[in-house]
Amino acid sequence: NNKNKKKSPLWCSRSKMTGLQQIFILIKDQKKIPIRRADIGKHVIKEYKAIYIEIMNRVCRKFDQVFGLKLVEIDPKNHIYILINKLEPIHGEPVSMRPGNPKTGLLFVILSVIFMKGGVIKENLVWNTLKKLRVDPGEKHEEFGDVKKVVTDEFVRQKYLEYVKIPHTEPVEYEFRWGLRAEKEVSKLKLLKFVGELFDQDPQSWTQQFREASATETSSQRS
Amino acid sequence: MSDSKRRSRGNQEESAGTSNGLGGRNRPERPGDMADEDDIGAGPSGISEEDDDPTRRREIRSKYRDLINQVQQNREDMLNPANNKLTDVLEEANKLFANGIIFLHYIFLYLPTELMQFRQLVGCMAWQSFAHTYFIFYVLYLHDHLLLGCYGLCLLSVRQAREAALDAQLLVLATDLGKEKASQLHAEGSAFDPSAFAEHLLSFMGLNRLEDESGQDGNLEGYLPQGAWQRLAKRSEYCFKTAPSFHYMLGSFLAEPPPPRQRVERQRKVPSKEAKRIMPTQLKKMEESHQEATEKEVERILGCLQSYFADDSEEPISYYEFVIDPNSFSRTVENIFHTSFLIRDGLVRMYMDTDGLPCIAPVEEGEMEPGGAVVRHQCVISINQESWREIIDAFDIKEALIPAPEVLSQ
Repeated sequence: NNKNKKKSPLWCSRSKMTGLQQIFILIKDQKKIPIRRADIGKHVIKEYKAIYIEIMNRVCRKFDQVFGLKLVEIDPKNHIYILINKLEPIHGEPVSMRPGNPKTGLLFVILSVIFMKGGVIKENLVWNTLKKLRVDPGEKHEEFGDVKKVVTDEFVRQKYLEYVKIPHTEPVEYEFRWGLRAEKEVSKLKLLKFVGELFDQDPQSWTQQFREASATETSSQRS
Repeated sequence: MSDSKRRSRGNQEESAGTSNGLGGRNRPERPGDMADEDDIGAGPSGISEEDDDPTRRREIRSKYRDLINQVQQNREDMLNPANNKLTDVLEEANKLFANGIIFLHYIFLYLPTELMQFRQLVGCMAWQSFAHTYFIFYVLYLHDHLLLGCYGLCLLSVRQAREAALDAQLLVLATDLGKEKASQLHAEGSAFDPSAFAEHLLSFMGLNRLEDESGQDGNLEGYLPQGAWQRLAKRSEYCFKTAPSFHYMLGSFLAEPPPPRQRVERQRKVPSKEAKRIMPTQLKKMEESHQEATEKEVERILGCLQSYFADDSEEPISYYEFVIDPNSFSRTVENIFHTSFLIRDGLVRMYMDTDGLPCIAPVEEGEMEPGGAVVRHQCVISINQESWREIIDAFDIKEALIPAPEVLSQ
């Protein structure tokens, strides 16, 4: 249908739409809140739903080739996407020129404890560990502010963590797990290696965790 | 009660010798199976008179609550594989309530420590059903894919339900802890202690420990330096494949005009309409006079320069001395402004003398070639009050070469 391509009003729109969708995704990514396909449809594609898949493919290709970013579907059921970096950070080279965001450190602590403890922990373990680090969820912290809100609301909305009610608990207790974003964005192996450095211990000495981390690494490399 | 206790202990001692937890108990039994449970189960033994005494019961309940609190508060402590505090608590509980299912505590507790070859404690659940006041508790664990089950059943008398409830509550807590302790024991692999993790993190972040640290548990001594969390963040970043956040390099702006402007416009409209009606011609005149003024001024300055040169065409005139008015900075700027028109139009030229100072001279008739074989340069001149004063001092300028213009009547 090459003849019609130039005449069809969609032909010019395709590249425009690709560009628009890229910008839409990049801006949504600023706050690290995952992007819903429904939102993309509402704000960018609108009535051109028929070519949605084509635009999506173009967008993914552009992100991949131009920006070195991967658009990953973390929730195939609800069609929710995140942007992650395709490039692996190289040890010894700075990841970015910007000063570290303290929240990354906080998130690392929580993700590590969850992972090292088998994947699920009661919320009290998180709060007690943070208290030892002089971060008290009951008090306002000078770097993090309302710590409880950052951990149970912000990190959860960004899908770094899952904060789930434990059924049949009275008073209500919650547990923490890794969120869908963390599963895709965080390298368990690298995390374990850093934990090993902190303990001055061979990461392989935590055999179960090492096994799980290696398995996740190979499967993610394949995808 | 103590009888069955001894019996169950006896079972334990038997089984300790074998590699399986409960010795011969390889049969996963269903909860309803009461008949077989005599050796593990504790049927309700007669409740003696003294156990019925309300004061004694209150005492028991209070002691239970203490134990429960103890377990809850010191959870972390009890999890420490190095101690047996959990055992101690349960032994206390054992003494409190004779009709409780104390033997089950022992079954559960001894398993993990004696059977290290068990890979994983899959789950442990304690159910309580107060309506029926029976208690089902079983521990499932996996040993080389063989599912071994052990559970006990205890029917308690309704009369002692409150104590039973507390006992049950304590048991739930204890089993939970026990499960965690058991899971810490992997046949291979070391345990992970979050407290130690926190300590190592503090060291990494550069904790400044105070000299007189008492070093007790829960005593938070020392302080974290500035940027401690950033330090940790920088190192942790390597574990993340975060996409860099998108920002416009030069910032962005909002394309729409801000709404408040409408209000101002509305206020202005009324007076300006009238004003327009009254003075249309006058407005035109003002614009013209501005243009005229500039042209006049430029001509006047040219006239000045030419007259100076007419007097003495040999003596070069320093640009600075020409434009600077030592009495008025603003007039100096105006002079520079007007002179620049002369230079632009080729009526005046600026050149550097032997000392490297700029000089100015009118262009002779005929010197100027249309089409400009003369090389034309562009430059931007700026001056501020400080440099103005410096030049006045340096050149010792006493009076303006360009006389001040007469005040224009408007």
